[in-house]
Amino acid sequence: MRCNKAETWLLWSSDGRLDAKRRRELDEHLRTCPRCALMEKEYGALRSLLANEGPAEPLPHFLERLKSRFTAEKKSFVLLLWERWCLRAVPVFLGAVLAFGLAVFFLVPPAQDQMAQSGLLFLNGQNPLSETQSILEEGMGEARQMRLIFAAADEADYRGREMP
Amino acid sequence: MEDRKLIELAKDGSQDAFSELVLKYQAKVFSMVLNFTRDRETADDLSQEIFLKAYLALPRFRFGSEFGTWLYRISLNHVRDYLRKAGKRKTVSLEEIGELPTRDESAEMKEKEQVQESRKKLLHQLLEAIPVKYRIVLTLRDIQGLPYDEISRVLRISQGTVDSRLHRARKMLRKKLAPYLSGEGERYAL
Repeated sequence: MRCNKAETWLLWSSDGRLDAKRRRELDEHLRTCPRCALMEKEYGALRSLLANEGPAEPLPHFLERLKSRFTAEKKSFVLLLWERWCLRAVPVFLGAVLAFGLAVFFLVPPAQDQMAQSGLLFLNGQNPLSETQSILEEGMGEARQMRLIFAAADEADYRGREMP
Repeated sequence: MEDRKLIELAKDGSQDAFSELVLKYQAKVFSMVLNFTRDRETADDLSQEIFLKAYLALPRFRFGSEFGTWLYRISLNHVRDYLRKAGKRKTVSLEEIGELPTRDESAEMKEKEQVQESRKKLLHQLLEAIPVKYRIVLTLRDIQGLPYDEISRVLRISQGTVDSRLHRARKMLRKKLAPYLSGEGERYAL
């Protein structure tokens, strides 16, 4: 018999799972193999060590202390449920806000930009530079400079400017 | 009263029925937890948490297994969580065994008590040195005395796996114990 097999049988034997025939074979091996005989002794010591661990009783008033914890736990259980609900509600709220933002971005058509006065003139087939052009064509250089300055000042508030 | 009746009453809100279940199983749960924690106060605290968990989970218990098996499963999961957290804080080495009280240091202690205490400490140190999954099987079988089929149901593993884990656990423990048997065995009355 090989020693590995002997060890397995030793362990089965300690669980009462070794039949009589195998037990005899094992005993035979143990008589001739000092290594396995030592192993049997070691397993015996281990069993004795483990058997030393008898059932233990909890600390006194276990049930009374448990009952008082039940009462406290019931209160905290409600709080725990509320906390869990809040923890779930926060990501749900953020998700809803994000979904709403995306829906607004993609589904609602953008408002038309208000066109500049020059753009409107272009659309109406008129020349937006006609006023400036007439100034540039004037003969007197000094008067032309002054008119250009005033025209530029008016350009800042083009909405209020009179149509040419 | 039978477990089934007590559970049904407890499910209907009877605290007395659940108290009876606690009285029936408290020693088993406590002993098992103590095997992993080594500290009585910690084991007591964890046991209370286990019963609280069981109480809160009781409405979901459908009699798919025995109550004891179900409770053991809750206990082991709770202990696993504890060990995972505790493992990050503390590691125990076999060298610590050298710090056990000697005859000179504990002159006032009775010899027998001292030996018993030393053996317990030795066993716990040895158990802590093997991986948790092997320690659990070994504890359930060799300390708690659960049969193979119940261990298989508690851990939701096959009986073959229980057998192989137990085999490896015992081998590991024997190897770790061997030096104490040859050298310091007398100190632990081995």
